[in-house]
Amino acid sequence: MNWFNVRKLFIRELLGQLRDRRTIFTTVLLPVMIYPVLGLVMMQVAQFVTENSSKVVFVGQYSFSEFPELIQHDPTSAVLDGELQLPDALLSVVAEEFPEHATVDGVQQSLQQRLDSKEFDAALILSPQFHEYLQYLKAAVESGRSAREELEKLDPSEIPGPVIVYNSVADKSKIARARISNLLEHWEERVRDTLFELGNLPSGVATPIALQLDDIAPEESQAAEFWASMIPIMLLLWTLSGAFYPAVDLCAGEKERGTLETLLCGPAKRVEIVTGKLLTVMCFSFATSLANLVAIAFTGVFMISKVMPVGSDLHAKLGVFPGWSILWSLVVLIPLVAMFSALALAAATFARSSKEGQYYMMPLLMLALPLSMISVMPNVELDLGTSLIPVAGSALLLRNLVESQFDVALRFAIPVMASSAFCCYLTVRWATFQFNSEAVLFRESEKWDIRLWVRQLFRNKPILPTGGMAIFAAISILMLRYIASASATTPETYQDFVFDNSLSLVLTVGVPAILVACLLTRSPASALRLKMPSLSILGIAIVLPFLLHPSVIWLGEAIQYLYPINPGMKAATAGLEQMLGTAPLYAMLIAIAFVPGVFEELAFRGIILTGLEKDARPSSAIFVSAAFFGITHGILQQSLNAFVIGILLGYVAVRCGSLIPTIIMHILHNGITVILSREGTADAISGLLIDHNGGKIYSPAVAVIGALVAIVLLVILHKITKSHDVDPVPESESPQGVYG
Amino acid sequence: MIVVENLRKSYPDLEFDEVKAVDGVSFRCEPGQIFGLLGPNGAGKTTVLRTLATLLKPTSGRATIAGFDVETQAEQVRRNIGFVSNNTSNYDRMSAREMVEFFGRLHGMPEEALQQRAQLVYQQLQMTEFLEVSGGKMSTGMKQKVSIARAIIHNPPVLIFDEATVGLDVLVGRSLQDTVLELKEQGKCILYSTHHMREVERVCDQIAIMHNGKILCEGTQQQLREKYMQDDLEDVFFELMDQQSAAEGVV
Repeated sequence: MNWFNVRKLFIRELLGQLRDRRTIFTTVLLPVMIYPVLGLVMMQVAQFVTENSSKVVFVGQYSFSEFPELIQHDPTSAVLDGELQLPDALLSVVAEEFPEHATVDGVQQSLQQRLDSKEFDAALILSPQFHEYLQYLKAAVESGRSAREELEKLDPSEIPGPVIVYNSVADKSKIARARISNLLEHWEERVRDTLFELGNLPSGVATPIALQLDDIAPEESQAAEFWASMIPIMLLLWTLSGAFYPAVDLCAGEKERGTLETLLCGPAKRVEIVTGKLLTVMCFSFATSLANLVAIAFTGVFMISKVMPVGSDLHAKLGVFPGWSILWSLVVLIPLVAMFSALALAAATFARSSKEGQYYMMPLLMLALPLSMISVMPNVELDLGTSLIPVAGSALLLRNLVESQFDVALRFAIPVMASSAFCCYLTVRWATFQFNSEAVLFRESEKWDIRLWVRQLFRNKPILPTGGMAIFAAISILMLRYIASASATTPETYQDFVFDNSLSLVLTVGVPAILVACLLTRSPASALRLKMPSLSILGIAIVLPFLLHPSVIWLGEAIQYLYPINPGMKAATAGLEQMLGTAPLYAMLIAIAFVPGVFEELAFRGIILTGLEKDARPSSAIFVSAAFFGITHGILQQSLNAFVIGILLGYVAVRCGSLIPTIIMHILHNGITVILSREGTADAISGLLIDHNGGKIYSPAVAVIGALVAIVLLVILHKITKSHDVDPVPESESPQGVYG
Repeated sequence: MIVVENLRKSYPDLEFDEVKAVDGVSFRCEPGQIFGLLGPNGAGKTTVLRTLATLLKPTSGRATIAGFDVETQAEQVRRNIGFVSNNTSNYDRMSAREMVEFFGRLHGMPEEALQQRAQLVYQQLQMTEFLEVSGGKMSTGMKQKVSIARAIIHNPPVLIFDEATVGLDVLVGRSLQDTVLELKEQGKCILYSTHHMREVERVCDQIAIMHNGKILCEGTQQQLREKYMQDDLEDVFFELMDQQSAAEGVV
């Protein structure tokens, strides 16, 4: 790659974008303007909301001769048009008599109807019985010791308390209820104090335990909580949208305007063009983040503290803005900016026009949003596990920085950066791939006829499956697995388990793979890699699972350490494990080793890997097929383990060009796990085991030696097999309709 | 200079399984010669030229430009050609001068040489009056001149014009043809595709008539007229089309 060319291209693209008013508006001006405007609007709305009093009806007498008043008449309260205005409590009260000879139920019913017709927001019933009860309480307290016996005779459910009639679905009614409750709570305190006074008890008896809280979180962290949860999400979303608009203009827009072809027939290499464009998109994405942060900071530091009075509700909720020090958290954004920019660039390259490009924004947002939302979920903290999750790790790191928890942030900065850098590398690779594909660059609108397509699919079958068929098979399997797991019931006997598990695997994994191979390819056996390998390969395939089993078990341990299985799931599977422990060994070997070993291999290393290998480089095909293999395992911890194993199996399948070795490895690996989990069987190899977390595990030395010997065998395997060179851009990928 | 041997390019197609956009095309074009590719829309001219400009990879066959293979030495090929097509536009937000000089710099021209060459090209193409006008505000004629200037700024030995006169008025079209003839005088090897007979008659030395991805006939204007016993090149063209349709009907 010629960096001089990249620089020239970068400068040109940057100038081009800077001369475009729309880009400048969406990436810089919009974010700068939006916060102050939003802040002002929010303050206006907040005032508007809080100044509205709730209209409520009090049925029954609400003043009590010997008790404190329910409504304390402060100087601001007034009677207007028959309504008692209570500005402090934000209530506007209409008082009504409790109808004579009416029951509480009857009054309740009539109030419900009136509430339905929106006559008021909520109602409070203070029945005559409640008055009597208060009098009774007072008399009982005054009469001294005998009062306790009197009170003990009362059934608490029969005490006629005040009743609030409201509608929890209507917001206004809910607010009114809260305000009435608030009023009642304050009144209850005063009534209690009065009763204590009458009974000659000190008021401290009412609250015998005076709890004191000692919060050790630094003041700046406490105060910045609101900002700490908001800033990462806002920044991530703006980083993505800041990347998206220039990317669409630089790729889809250039295609539309015809300048991309001018550039492509120029002297620069494709990779230089991609890099130049990527740097430009990154620049804008970063500028958007920076503009955002400055705008948030401005709004936070100046507007909120100046406009909102200190001590007000809203001010307390928003807390103190963490200050300008958060600007350095932009460093965290660099790998994210690169990743989002490459993603946006790849999506925009794929699009034929700017309009189509805009359509791809939503799926990308849908991908990024849930990941960034992880940072605001309760109980989710930055640790080694979460730091490795793309986007989410960065959001959590940002959160810690904003909260000034620098020690935690520093500890996990490297894993976050490493994970982001890896994702960034993958997305850049994808973008470059898009840019090298004739089919993508010269794609033109073509009429797609499903009838012709189906006819073509069956009439001109390829010998081997295509990448499209592989993806189709993988997605079908994923969907079928999802349906199967959603409709599965907990097995009651081991026979149920063996039958259900095997049948579900055959139907959801095996059948789709075999159907795709038989119906859509000319050589199903080649599509599924059903070919006998040499004896030496078979020998290696038999030995490898024994050598690698300790490492895989340790890998599982490491994964569980990073992402602990939640206790609920552990408890749920414990019963099943216990039941399966008593099942005959042959049944478990069929259900857990044999059936998955054969059918998962037919699908993932068979049709899916073969298809992917036809349209992509072997390494990418192995990676993607392993990812699908991992995802179908459902539980995150198992998925990660399966992903790593999938890469190894994929490598063996590609090198040997045969599925037999991987079927053997898969069956043996699962079989060893089943056998060792049986009561007493582990004793046979007790010399290889150590105590670990209340159980037994291979000693690390065994794992290391096993892995080293396995590596030697894999090197031998590499030497004795030929790489199956597949043209990365085969004929079938060429576009339609580019001829003149 | 341009050598094309049995070049093929095909795409999968839902209806016909496979469309052969270019089906075994061979020709040569020497320096100081204008080779015309004449054919109706959809004949495969653009696919041939895009393959020569390394934008597409051939399905089979071989093509070299200035001795470099279009498939394996794409970068060297692009350094030796100037490609003007109605699909290659100019940047709207760049002035004529910026556009031309950007491509010159991309070709690695030293600043001084670039300025000298640029002045020459601007005068040759009579561009001096609109050098500072941005692409979006240019007339079609101005845009075409900038395209040519962009394609010849690095003084390449080979030039490819793909239906470059489409959408131009008679005056601008004529001026473009004059430029092409001037470039021929400078010893350039020029490949010129069009579907206008008159243009071919005026500028091309050697002509190949393309239809359905194949070259139906090739020769000088004189040779074609004599072979098909027609005075007018347009009559030659229609004669060939008729023969082709009859042959396809028989098949």
